[in-house]
Amino acid sequence: MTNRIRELRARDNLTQSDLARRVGVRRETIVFLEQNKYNPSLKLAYDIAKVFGMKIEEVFEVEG
Amino acid sequence: MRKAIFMVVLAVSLIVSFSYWLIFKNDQMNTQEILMIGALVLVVGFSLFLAFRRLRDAKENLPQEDEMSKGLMRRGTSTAYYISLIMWLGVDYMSDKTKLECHSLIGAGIMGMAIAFALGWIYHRYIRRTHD
Repeated sequence: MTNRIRELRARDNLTQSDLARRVGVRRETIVFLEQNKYNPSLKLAYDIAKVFGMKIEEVFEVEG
Repeated sequence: MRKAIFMVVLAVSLIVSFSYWLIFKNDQMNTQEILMIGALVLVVGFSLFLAFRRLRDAKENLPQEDEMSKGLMRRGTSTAYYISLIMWLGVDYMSDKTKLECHSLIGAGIMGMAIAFALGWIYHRYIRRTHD
């Protein structure tokens, strides 16, 4: 699974800590997500998409 | 925050009790005791490391636990369980070869589980490439 979190975070001028605080996770989780090393739960994916005002499929993409 | 404080208290009490034992110990240290010191350093160091992470997150007003950290804990625990099955065979084998006392074997088993958990957690956090 790939995502556009880093790009969208830069667009909205959010730090990793800001995003982590807004979706209620540790900063480390955002780091792992941006490196495509962690597949989030549906709820977390939904919360992240909501922060950016987008749909889940616009933020996350399933490969293959 | 409470868990982090508990981890620090546990680590400090281990250091204090170990130091007490070390100060009042008269004879030379044997291999078993040196191994125990190494294991203790690893376990105490790991618990202080986890406590530090939690305190750092608390300071930044971030949650100290989330779905990924809980997943890492679960994976570390399950790895420790599998390793403990192998350890059990090892201890069973060793019990025939040596004259270890019961409390020493139980202590070694518990310490082994703690080390297996620490190593399992480190593997899943730092070495494995993906986390589902």
